[in-house]
Amino acid sequence: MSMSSRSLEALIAEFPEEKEAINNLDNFIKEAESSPKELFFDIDRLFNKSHFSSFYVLVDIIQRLVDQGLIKKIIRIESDAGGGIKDFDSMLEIPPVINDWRTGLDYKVDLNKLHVLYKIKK
Amino acid sequence: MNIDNFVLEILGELNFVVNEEKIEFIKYKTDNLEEPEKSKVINLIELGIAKGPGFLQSKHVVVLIHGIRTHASWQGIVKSELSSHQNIHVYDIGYGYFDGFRFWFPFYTRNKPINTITSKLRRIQEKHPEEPITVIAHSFGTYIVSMILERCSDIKIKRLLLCGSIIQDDYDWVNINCPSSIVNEVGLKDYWPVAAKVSSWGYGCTGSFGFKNPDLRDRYHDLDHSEFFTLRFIRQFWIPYVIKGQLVPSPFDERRPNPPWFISFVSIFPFKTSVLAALATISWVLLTRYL
Repeated sequence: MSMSSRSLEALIAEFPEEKEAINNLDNFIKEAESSPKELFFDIDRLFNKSHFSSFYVLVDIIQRLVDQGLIKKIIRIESDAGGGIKDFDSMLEIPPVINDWRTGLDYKVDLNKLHVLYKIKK
Repeated sequence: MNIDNFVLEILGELNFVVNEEKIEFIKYKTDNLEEPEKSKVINLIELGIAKGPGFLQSKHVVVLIHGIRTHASWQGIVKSELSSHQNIHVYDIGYGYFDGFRFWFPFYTRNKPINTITSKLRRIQEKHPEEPITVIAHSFGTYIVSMILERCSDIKIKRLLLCGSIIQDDYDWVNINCPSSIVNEVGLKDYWPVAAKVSSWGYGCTGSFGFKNPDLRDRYHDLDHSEFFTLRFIRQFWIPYVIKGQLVPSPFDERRPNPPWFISFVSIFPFKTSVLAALATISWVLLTRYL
């Protein structure tokens, strides 16, 4: 479910300097949608694929895509042993203590273990 | 609310909060916010935590160029508001008091302010070689910057914002040192550009009617020559443009009223030619009568 041509045009009209980057991002989303696997990307990957002039602009554009339901933001807490423990929709939902099923221990959430990921919705 | 500064402040304060209390601290700091600011702040905090606050801090330089017969108090308002953003460095540059006669006279008198601003822009560029420069020009300042773009290929302007523009509508944006992005704020109640065009040479009324040129974007507002310089306008239209190149649409872009008929008439009537023809006729009559 990539951007409709109308929303793509509206986005380019509002950010004309980022026309190429917006098209790159749209193409990247289309490619990801055609993958049989569920794919997650962090902002660095999206930035490197699209070549926006700054992260600041990309954050704004990504939020539009989240609001349109094209991508979903996920906040993933990582285990000390490596790998994700649990996903949340927002940082505000994260409890102070979380069960790390990889180690079998409860641990107090360390925000340094927080990863922001984006999932392309099919 | 200045969202960027608020987020940077929270990210800074988080360094002094124990790990276990950081989420509660963020909830506390954002509790009083309303949507959509709250979501925006949370998004930026999440990314700031994941990537570090540096990703928010791309630097920008903004240069303000004023019009004539003024020491441009508007520059203070605009500078104060833009400077409140940590990432924006503002220069308000001038060329001294420029009277109406020198503005009107089409030969020589306009060069000094052009040279003065050129010199100051070069110095700013030397001081900030890596940072993109946005120029906000008003009235005669728009004429100055158009001349600089024609003459000086070494001055690199990333974004150009014009208001009360008196640049001619057939100005060749293609074959000059063109900025990456140009926005022309058109004041639907701004009649001064029309007065400049009909009274002198070398000026246009693009601040009243727009350029209607695909190389730049006309943005229409129900404002007069100096009503652009309000905090509300600056925050709504200029901050997003300076920081992100974002062109927030104006409600008048699609539903703009037609200008008063007399303004349209004045803008196309050949006043200068008529006055010159009348003067030539009177001179000829007097010469033939008394010689």
